[in-house]
Amino acid sequence: MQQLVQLIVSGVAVGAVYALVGLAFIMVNEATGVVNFATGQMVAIGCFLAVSTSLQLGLPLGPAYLLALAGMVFFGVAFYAVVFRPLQDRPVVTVIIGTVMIGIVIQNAALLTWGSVPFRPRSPFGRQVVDVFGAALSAHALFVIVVAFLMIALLYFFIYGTAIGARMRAVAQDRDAARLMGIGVDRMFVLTWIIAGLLTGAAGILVGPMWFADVNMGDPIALKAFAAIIIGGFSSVPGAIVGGVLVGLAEMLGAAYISSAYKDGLVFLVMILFLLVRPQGIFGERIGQRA
Amino acid sequence: MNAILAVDGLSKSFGGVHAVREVSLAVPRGRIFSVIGPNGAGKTTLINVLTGILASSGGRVHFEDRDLTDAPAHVVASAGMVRTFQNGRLFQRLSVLENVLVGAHHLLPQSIWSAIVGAARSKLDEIRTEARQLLADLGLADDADRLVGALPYGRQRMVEIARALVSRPKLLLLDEPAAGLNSGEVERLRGVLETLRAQGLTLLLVEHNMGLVMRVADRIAVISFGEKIAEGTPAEVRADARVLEAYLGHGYRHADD
Amino acid sequence: MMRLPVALPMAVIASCAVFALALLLPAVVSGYGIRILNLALISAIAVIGLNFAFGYAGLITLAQAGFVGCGAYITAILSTMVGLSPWLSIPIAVVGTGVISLAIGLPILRLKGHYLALATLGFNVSFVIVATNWKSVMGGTDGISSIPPLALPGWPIANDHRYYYVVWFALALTSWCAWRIRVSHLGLAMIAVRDDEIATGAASVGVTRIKLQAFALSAIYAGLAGALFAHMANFVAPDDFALSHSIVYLAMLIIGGEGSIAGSITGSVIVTFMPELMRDLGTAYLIVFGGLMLVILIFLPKGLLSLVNLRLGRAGTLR
Repeated sequence: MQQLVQLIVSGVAVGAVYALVGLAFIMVNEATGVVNFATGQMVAIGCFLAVSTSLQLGLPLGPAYLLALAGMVFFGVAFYAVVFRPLQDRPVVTVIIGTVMIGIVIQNAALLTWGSVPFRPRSPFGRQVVDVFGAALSAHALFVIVVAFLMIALLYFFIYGTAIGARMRAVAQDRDAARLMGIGVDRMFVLTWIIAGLLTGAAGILVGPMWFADVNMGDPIALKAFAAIIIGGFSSVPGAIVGGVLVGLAEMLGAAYISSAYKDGLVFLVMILFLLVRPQGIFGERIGQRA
Repeated sequence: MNAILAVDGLSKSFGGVHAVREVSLAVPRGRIFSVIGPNGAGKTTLINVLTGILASSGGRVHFEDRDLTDAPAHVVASAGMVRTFQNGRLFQRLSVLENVLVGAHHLLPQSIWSAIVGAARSKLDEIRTEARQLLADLGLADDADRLVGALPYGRQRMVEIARALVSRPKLLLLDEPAAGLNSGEVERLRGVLETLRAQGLTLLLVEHNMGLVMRVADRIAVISFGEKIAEGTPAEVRADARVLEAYLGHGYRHADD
Repeated sequence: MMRLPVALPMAVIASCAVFALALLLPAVVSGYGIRILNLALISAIAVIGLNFAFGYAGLITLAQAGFVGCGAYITAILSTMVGLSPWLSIPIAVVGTGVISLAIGLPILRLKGHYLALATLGFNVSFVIVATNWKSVMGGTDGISSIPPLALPGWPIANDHRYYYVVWFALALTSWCAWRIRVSHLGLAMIAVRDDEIATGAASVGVTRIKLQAFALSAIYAGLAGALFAHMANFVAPDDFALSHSIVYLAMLIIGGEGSIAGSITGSVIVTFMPELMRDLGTAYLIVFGGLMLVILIFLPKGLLSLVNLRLGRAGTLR
């Protein structure tokens, strides 16, 4: 029983990270129409920026994280300028391959910068354990859950509760109409990429102390995030959260009770089943088979 | 029965909107049967349901005593009921001749093996000759090897008719073939339609151009708000009070102007 | 004005000439170079296959490396554990891969665009997971070694120079088949499906069937490429068939020129040799490689072969 609670908490924590990554993917896809296959590498960069600021520069964790996130803002803008602008309005497959190529560039630039030996980033809570009703829970996992859901709540408020958010939604729905109404579409695109940078950066910072900081960490995380948003619904914020948590739980519980070797296979099996039976996901509306 | 196509109580609704409501038609063999109606009356929806592009919400479709209700598009086409599209839908990466050849797909063996080593090849050569002849008949002889996008709009519409004809249809459904054509091209189209009728082909013509319809159609059905409100010869339809009413609301003084 | 097939005989003659000249390569290329060349031609087979699914029919599939893996593992298992002759296990691998692709394609080809991309991605990732963990049959991360080389009576094809002729013949044969299919009604229908699915159906083409045929053809070509790879390397491991390789196959196709058989081969050769040409860059080469691919995608969306076509003033070769 105690083990089950621990597994659930760590599953939800990992799932919250997938949800953040999935949201970064959805935000970009909804607003700009770009399917960003370099999302995972952005997570890795976020993680390593925090490694640099905390371990290599030796800053306290608070400022270190903020500096890393600031770096991710720049990264988002750079991604907008170097990748998005030229690939904008190209066929889906060109965008897929283009972003994959950028992912390769980023990953190998990271390899040159940080080397192939994984780092073990510290958690603000170290290896502390919190006792909840007799179950010893990792403080970091609880921290991840709280921070991730705070960020998602903030994002939700930003999109649905502010004037800028309304403009972003207008751009997502109809770019040309938004432009005619005098909305600075390009500025909204920049903002979208900044948000994507922040979400993936936060995901990288949070996931670091749970696993390792490894330059190859991007793809496995991105693949799980894909699975999460397909299960949840390709364009739905609650869908990304539920999908992310489901994938995190499936991974943790599957590894413990079914087979640690096939835990990822299980996740992708569920993803393919969803694609076939309910391509719009749990929360999605009828967008299922749109090209 | 003399009817090649019998539509019985066909309906199509989108959510709560009845685009087509219990329409029944009997299209006589070897004639030009025209379906007319104001914009948004449901004519294109009707054709889309007949040809397997949309699923029906009720009713039956019998073609040559075969039940084709909700049959997939390629089955409908293979059975001999072949259509063209309102805005002209051609394959932009293919030449004119290649576009036409796609229409003959169901006449050829379907296996990959036969495509590589033979059986399908000689048959395709036969059809290629036939297709060139068809294009020549339609005045497109010089365009056969051009990319289809290089053709002016009027000729693209003719390519679509050629693509439909090469599949050896028994009934040709034309969805507003005159839309976007100039008067000379409409005349040419009229000649083509009359020739096809003379060759024994049945035509179902959905059209906005009243001048064309009144001159070529043997029988006309009028659709308004998804329902058939009248049917008869051009003269009968022209005199029908309900038809005038349906059109007057849309600014038509007289059905043939 | 754009005129198509008149230019075709020229392109066919040029292609035949290139193939004939390629027969002389083993005489001038050294040991390691010929190994890379073999790899390039094997990749070309997989990419010509991919051209059916993506170049013609527009199916975005990220499963090609998975199918290459199916072919490689089937022949590896049959020729080691079962002890079949490679001449028997290779055809079985090709057919087996085709059957697997039908089983997968039947349900997932209903999906379009990036949904299809993600579903096929799921297959490729799953293939690697199974290959890595099913140790008793697929050997796990260690893979399968001691795969027997091909042999003709009295002429063992034990070295890369001899194997080149096998690969050359396979590529020539598969290119010829692909060309035949391209000019047949099946090729036309595949291209039509990508241009306008609804009009294709209305023109009497069974759209589901033609998509399945394109998908199965791509898998069959992949299966052959995988089987040839297995008997050249004499060793297969899951890493060779990872998702990243599927992306590389797509990149080869787009960089050469999608929708074109000659483009498929050109792209495969260039992308395979690129790391060799950039060896001096060391670990930085992947950065340059990725950047270069991106530049080509952005500035030459129709592929490198479109440069040649521009020069010749034609609308398309081998299309």
